Amino acid sequence: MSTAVIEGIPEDPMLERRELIQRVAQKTLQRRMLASRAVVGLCGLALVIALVPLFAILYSLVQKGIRWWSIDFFTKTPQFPSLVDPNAVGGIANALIGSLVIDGLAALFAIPIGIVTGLFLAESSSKFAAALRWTAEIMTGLPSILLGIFAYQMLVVGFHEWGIRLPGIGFSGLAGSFAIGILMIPVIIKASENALRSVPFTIREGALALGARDGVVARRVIIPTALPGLITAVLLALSRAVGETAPILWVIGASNIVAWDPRHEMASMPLYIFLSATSPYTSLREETWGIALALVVVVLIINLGSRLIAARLQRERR
Amino acid sequence: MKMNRTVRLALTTTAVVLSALSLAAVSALPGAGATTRGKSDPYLAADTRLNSPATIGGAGSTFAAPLENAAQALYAGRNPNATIDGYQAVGSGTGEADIIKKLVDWGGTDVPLLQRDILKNEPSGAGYQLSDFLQIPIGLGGVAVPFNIPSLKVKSLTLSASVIANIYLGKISYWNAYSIQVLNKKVKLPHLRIIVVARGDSSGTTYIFTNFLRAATPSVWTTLASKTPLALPTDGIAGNGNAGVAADIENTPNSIGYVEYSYLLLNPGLLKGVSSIVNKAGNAIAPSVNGIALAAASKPNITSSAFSIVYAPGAKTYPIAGYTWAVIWKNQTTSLAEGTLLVKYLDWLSHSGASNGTTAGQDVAALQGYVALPANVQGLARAALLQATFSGKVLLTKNGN
Amino acid sequence: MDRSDPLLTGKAKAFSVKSDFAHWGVLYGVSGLFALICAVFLISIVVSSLPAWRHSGLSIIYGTTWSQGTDSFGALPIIAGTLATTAIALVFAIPIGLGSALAIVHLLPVKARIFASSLVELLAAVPSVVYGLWGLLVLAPWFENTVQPALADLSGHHFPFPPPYEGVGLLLAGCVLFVMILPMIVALSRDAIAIVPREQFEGALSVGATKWQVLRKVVLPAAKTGIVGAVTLATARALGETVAVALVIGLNPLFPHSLFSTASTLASTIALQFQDATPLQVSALGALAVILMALTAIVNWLGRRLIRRSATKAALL
Repeated sequence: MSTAVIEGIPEDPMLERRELIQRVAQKTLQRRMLASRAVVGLCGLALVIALVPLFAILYSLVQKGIRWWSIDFFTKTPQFPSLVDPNAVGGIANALIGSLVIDGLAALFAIPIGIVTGLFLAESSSKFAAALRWTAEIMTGLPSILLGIFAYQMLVVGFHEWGIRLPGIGFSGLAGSFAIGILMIPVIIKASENALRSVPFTIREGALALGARDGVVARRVIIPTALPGLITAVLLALSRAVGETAPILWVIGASNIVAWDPRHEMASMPLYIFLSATSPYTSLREETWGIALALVVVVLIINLGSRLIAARLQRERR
Repeated sequence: MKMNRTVRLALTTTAVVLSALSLAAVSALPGAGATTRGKSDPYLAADTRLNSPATIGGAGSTFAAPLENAAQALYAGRNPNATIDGYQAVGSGTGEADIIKKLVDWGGTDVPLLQRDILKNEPSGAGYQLSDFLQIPIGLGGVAVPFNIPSLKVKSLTLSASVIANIYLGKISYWNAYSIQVLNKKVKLPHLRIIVVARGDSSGTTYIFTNFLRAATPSVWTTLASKTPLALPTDGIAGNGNAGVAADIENTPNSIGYVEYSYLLLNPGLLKGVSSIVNKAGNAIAPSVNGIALAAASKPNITSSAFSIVYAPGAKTYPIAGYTWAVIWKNQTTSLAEGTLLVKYLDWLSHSGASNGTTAGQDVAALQGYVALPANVQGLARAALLQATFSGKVLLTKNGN
Repeated sequence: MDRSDPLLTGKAKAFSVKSDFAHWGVLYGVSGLFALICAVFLISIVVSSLPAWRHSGLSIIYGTTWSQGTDSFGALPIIAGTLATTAIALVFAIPIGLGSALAIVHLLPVKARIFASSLVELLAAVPSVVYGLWGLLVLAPWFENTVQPALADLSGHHFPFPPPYEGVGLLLAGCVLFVMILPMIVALSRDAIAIVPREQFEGALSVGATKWQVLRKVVLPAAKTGIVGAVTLATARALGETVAVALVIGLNPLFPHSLFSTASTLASTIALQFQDATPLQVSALGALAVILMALTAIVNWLGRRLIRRSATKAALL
């Protein structure tokens, strides 16, 4: 209102408009603040609601599951309760070892393919690369049960259909590793492509300027630089794979003994949880909480581990 | 003839002494109880003796799962060379599919294999025949029809085949329907919707159940007995395996379903409501090992093509009873050790050990809520197993392999 | 460098195959192997479903009876069940997820932000079978004893909450799915919202707008494509979830007639019926898989497109 009085400053052509806006703003301030506070409150409430299931699940898992944990639980194989001894449950050693073997083999198979393909996508700009990137993205979103169908048709049944009889392959840990490996590959591809792309290209240019070939640049410069990201990629894919049930529902059989040979039938933690949840024996159903707790702990350790490693390596680079 | 007192006394004493001596002799036989026949079974004695280690695995009927689980633990404990991977309780249909596709060593099913099952599961053009397989009876049990009505104080309701059929067809939807109430005059049934629980997977238990409905009330239940999942009425629940159905009934108020009898004993919560089913003689009989045994006794000479014992005659027979089978290839192709372990395990499983003074499969069965196989059915199992060969060599032997 | 720089637009050909055959040979070889695996996988599923399409034609999609006994394959009720459970999950997950993401980025102090984000990501790491277990053993009884009767009283025991009250069913499956996709929506929306430059937010505040006005007019529109991308990804996950749903939905392939009825979804039907199916039935389940793949692929594709656009847009701001 009185700004025009000061000498030397030209008149503000927008003055009236500004004053109008300020008047309206002043009048509506009360209402706007109320609305804002209400919405902010709702958002906060939403956050609290979002965290409630986490605490509820963790609470159930720990409260019902921790009492099953014992040395026997981790080292013995399952026993079936009988009418004579209705509380006999053995342990889950078969599922633990089975998960280890199946996921380990799957990782061995998936990591090289995933990282090399990620490197390819990061380095190449051809149409083939674009198509592959699109394929990988679709594959990460596919329901994992389709992979179970694939592994069953190809490895468990397929070989019989085509007359190939690999000794002992029917239900096998190998078929399970195959399904889980295919699950992991697109996840690793996407994450490692991002990690590799984020290597500053000054570093790459420098290496090329020194006369190194593409292969040497990739192996000696780019991959080591992107290593934290690659490790994170692999560990995140692994943490997802460890928890997957659908791909291995029908392909690994269900073994009650500890088996290290992947051509053999095996058990696996998530599958065992699924089977125990619907087991006819009440004590086995209760034991499922203990197994679920163990699985969640393993997955959390892998997850947290990947974050810690990434953070530590990032810090070192700084 | 006239005997004087001395002779009579002498005869009586001799008789008493002789019987005492024979009783003592009989009870002195190793481990024999009062009912032993005295002749030990050499095949059974050799069943737990294996010279080379081997591993086998089976899959199939959930009807037999509690029996298999308990038996395997005992058998493996006795026989250090034997490793049994486990028995996947995936349902009779999958068990048959698995054995035909040679994915497992034996397939458990409550319905013996038919040629059309083979046609449906074999790799195309393989041309397998029924004679390529051996069907071995390994268990005898019953199908109970538990229900869960929280507001009801009584633990038992009387149901007839036509009532059950109509419930499963969706024609009776409320618990206090006239046809149910009239069978249970002393009980006040609530006006609540019946939740029907059935198997969602291909199931031999469903076969036995529908076989009973078809035999008892063919005018209401017009479809033939079959393993395929029943079409559920609205709001019905499909359970996965006998265990899934048992859990669903226990967790769902006002529900009704059908499970193998031993699952009642494994899920004591189900005992809060068990139906007594009207049998052929018109009596309402609750499921029990006695009722099942009587049903089996009414048709002693079963074969793998004439095996049905549902709706059996007799005042106290339980009308829904059935055998469960293990199917194996007649000609084993994996290895001599595996083939031998397979036939010996199944032989042990299908016999009682009383004559040998040990515990064998059927003794375990009796502890789990099944009925021990009648003697001639055990003989049928043995006869079938004796036909199993590996490279022309008969597998079931009287010694370790 | 400006926008037309060949290195930025991707047209620079600094690396050519001829310069290092061995390296590029390995790269192309392994990528080709991956492409081959994907191709064989996708083709085998489609091919395995062909007999069913030949047998029933498109009636698989619009038919209403799914019965293995009579070999009739009408999957419409199953598709309806799939869409219904996903819809229930989204109805809850979108507002709560968005609200949480906004809260994390703009309402919490810095330290709390990292803590809350980590908690949400921990939730994302929990395997789906554990969700199914919790849903079946903890949520279902609670639903049956508390929630369902309470909702039923609200609607006078009529639609949409008529008896019977079984616990398992559409609503429970929808809620379990909601809990599963929530962390995904929160994490990805949070990324999208955090990308909007702080200066824009503070600039708007400095001219007198309230927080909500800024969020509504500045932040959300800028993050819109990212948020939409997050939602479509979560939808794809919900559509394909198998194990958790199979445990809590009752597996009855009939049209759900109320929120409490049992139903079935594409993935859980496949899981239940696959092992003991005849070849024709396996093929029908393959057809279900194809339908599921089509749904998921479309949703996924939309999602990734929108997310990428949001990131490049923000980078060029």
